[in-house]
Amino acid sequence: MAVRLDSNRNVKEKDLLSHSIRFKLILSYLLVIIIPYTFVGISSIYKLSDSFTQQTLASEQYDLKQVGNDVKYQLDACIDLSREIVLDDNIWNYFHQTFAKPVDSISGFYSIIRPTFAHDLTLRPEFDRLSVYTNNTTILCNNYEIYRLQPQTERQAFYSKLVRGKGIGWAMLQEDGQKRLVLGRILNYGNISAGMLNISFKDSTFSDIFDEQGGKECTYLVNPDGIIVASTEKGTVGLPFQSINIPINKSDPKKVKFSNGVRWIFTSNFSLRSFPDENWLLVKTAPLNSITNATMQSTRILVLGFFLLLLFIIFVSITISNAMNKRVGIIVSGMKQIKQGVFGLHIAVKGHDELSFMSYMFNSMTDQLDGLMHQVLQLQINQKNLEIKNREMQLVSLKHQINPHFLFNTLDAIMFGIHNHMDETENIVALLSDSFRRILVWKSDMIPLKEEMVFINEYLTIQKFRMQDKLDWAVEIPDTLMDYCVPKMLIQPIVENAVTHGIAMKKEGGGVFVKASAQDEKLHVLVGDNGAGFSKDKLDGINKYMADANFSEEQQHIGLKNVYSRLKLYYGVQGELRIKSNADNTLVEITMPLQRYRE
Amino acid sequence: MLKKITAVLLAVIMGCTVFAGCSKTDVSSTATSNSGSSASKGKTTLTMFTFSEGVPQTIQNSPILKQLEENTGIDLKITCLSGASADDKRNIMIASQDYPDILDSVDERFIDAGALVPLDDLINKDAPNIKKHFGTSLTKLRYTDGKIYYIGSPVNREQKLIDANTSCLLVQYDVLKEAGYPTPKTLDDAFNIIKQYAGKHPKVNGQSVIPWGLWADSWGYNQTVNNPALWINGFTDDSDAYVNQSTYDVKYFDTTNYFKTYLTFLNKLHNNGMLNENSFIQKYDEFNAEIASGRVLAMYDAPCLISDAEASLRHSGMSNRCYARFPITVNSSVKDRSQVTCESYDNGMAITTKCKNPDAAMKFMDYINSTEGNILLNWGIKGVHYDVVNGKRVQKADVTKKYNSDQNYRWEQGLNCLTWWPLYTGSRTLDDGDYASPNNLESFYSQADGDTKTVLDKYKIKNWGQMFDTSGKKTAYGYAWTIPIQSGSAAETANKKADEYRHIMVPKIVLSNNEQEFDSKWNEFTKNLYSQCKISDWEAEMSKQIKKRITVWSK
Repeated sequence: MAVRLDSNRNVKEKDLLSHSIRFKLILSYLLVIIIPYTFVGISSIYKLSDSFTQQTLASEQYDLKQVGNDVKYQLDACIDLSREIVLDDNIWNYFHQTFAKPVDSISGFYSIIRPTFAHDLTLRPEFDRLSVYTNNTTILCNNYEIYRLQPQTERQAFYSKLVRGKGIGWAMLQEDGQKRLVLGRILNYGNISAGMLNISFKDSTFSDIFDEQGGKECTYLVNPDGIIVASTEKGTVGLPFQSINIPINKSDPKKVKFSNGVRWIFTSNFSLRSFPDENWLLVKTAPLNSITNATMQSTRILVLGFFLLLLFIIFVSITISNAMNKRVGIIVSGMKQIKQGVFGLHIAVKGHDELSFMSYMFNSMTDQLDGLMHQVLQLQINQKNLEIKNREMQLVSLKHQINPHFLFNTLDAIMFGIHNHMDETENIVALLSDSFRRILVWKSDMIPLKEEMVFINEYLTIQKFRMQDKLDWAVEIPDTLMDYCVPKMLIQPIVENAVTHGIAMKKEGGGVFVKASAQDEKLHVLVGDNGAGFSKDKLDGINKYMADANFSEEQQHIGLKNVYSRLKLYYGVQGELRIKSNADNTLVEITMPLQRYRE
Repeated sequence: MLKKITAVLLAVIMGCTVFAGCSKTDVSSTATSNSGSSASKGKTTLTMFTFSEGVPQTIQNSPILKQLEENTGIDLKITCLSGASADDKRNIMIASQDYPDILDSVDERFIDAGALVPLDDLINKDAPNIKKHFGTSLTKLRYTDGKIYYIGSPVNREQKLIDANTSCLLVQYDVLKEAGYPTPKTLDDAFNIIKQYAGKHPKVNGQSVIPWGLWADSWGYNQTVNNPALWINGFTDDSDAYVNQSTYDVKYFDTTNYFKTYLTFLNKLHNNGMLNENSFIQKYDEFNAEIASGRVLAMYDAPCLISDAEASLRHSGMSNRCYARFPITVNSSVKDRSQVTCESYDNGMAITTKCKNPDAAMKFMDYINSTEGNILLNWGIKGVHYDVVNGKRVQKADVTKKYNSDQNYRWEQGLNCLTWWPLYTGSRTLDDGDYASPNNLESFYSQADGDTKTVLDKYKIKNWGQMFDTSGKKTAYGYAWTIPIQSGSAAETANKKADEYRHIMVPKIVLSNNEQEFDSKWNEFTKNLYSQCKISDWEAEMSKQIKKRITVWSK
């Protein structure tokens, strides 16, 4: 189970890992910033606009309450004024007294009524008219301040109603061709009525108050009897409020549905100081969008700000990821080039961060890599060379062994031996065949010293058989050194050289010795003979020839040269080959690192 | 206060004349007609504030004012009243002493405030046109200190009337028709015609008739009681003053027998049941509503004050209830002078002490007064607002139409609307012999309704102005109501008290039931005017001021 999970994750990680850093960076911005930000933004805008709406609704409600206060103020002021006038003895007297002639009332009119009423109207411009309706036929009336009560009229009915009732009340009465809210109050003194005071409001008084809300609202002022006394909708004044049919929505009582759309509805109550039991009602409906618009305005600003910020974030993310990506790209393309074998490449990445450090490291690593590659190449070349040299050695040895001269000599000796020394000859043939096999079957390049010494012995035994008394040899190698390794066929060619060029060239023959010693962690192998030595010139020629890599291999010393080359290929400067020679002595010294042979 | 009322009335009447028909007239002209905006470089800037109510600020950019600027080389910046009332603005301006270069439509209150510079020297130096056109009337511009401070629209040339400018007898066409189109010349003529009709037709449209209309509340008293009493006695508009034309001593007019004569006439109407007693406390709107109902058979009132009611009568198909205009007097030996223009100027255009270039301002005012400037402001731009046909200026038909139908048009164009500026107006003639403005005497008849035409035909006239003789004798001091009385003085207080008192007493006198009552009330009235109202204070001051004016003017 755990394993499966792991493997799944690996697959996922692989999927994730398989995308570019740029993609991952943008993905991380998206996941970590933009998506949460968008979520938070949208939800907060939603919340805010909701609270805007609530606020606007609250402020609309507050406005209506304010309108209620203003209206109440006007109505109260109207009642106050009526009280002032009714309590004025002079005015009551004027309307109550009987004049001998109507014109006798003119003094009172110009000294009391006209100035008092004019003064009151100047102080309270919200009232249209202050008038008294009277039954007194002995006073002048001008149908402005003073009216005569005519039977069968609205005012007469109003008067009768007031006389029967509390002596004060509101009514919607016809004035200047329209219905107006009128306060009526009986001019009462000691329960004797002298007429009825009417105070009417200017049409603009309420509409001005209503209009202060903004103008899109429909506002109705409904008196305690349920009659609309003022309204922004012309034609509804004077109608019962019930008759305009405001359909109340039960599920959302704040909204009502009209034929021309859904509107908010607000109501507010107030009662006048003098009539605390009677409730006046203010109803306002506002188009849905008048409030939503205000909200939308704020929301629009929020959304705009949000998107600007979002754009800014995206811009910044892309800029940063681009900057990073570009630099990573430089590194990646550098790496690709290296992969394609362009070593020693230097890349330039701006900045002082991890990436620039990476590029710095990259540069130093490519430098190192370049060096290493050179070394490896060199090593490979050496290896190849070695192989070539080994093959060469194989060939040389084979050539030497199969060289007709050697072969005939050996075969002669064998033929001679067959006649004389059967046993020995048999042994020689066996050695010869071993010798050939050994050359043909080149198993490994490095062999223990003792194995090399076996070859040398075989070789010398064969030569001895051929050359008889002309050849002697001696081997002085401590047993302790026998297990150290030497390149195969490294020493044998030297010995062969000593036999073929040294001993064989001397009539009386000679001796060959092989010595080995360890010193300073190095293996010293000495091969010496007392046969014909090298002349000085020849020795210089050989030394020069061995040191020069390009020098074409000379037939005659091909073996020696091969040995030298392999020694250098195997050990470099640690491998040395020195030749000393005079007229009848040649000494070849090979030095190589002391390495124990391991299978 | 009366002066103010009369000033308001005068403004209304001026309005009436301006609004009345207007159109073709004649004469040659050399008015420039390029309306180029052109370079303002090198122009002198003059600022102006006008106290005339109802001037819209847009007048600044009207083509005619632009042309005026072009012609005068003046960059004129006019500011109009807006928001504050003229009184408030005046008080603020005087308090702050923040005056423009030119003040328009101002009176002696700015002189008293020391805001204005005397113009006499400037007129001599810079104003050849004003000098020439005012001529000997130049002295009538003088303030009590003998100096000229403002220049109004000159009225020293006669003009033909289209309609009566002030109160006159108004009789319903139907009343005249019934009586066979007589021409009432005396109070008795009028009384008889009306009584006869009222006897036969006690009701109009189901409502009882009001044979004689009165509107005696507030300033209506002047229109329908005081001024008629002046006119029927052959006086000019001296308002409250009866001025002895040889000694120039002043009596309060309402104490004179001239006034009593008119009250006797009103009392006679009352005793014949021809007055509505409520008229004495009636307000303007309610009175006009009565007229518009067709119930008022006749009255003595200013035609322009009942123009709305007449329009309403025509609108409701009662054009036979509109009114013919007649001059009447107490008896045939007295000649009506109600429409005689007496020269006196109580407001005008002035240069303030803050003006940096009074010469330029004076030259600007002089250009307005020049024939060219006069034509430009009243007739407009040649080819745009008027053409010259047979050597006479003729207003373009579409301009006439727009001028008469659209109240804003005149202000947008600046056309024939700044009638109080120091230029000739109405049907006065200019130096070139042609009319000063396109107000058209003939168009009145052509635009009149059928009933009006019938009545005009019966009297063989084309307009009501032809009923009146404007050539009567003028007073030496102009109109007495233009005499400034210091506010707060004993004279002013006395006048105020008297005005309040006459509003109460005159109705009582008029509504007396018999001669004894009438006489006793009259005596009480005249006595109390002196004993309680101290009207002699006012009489003394008026006498003094009129005499002073005559001295100042005659120097």
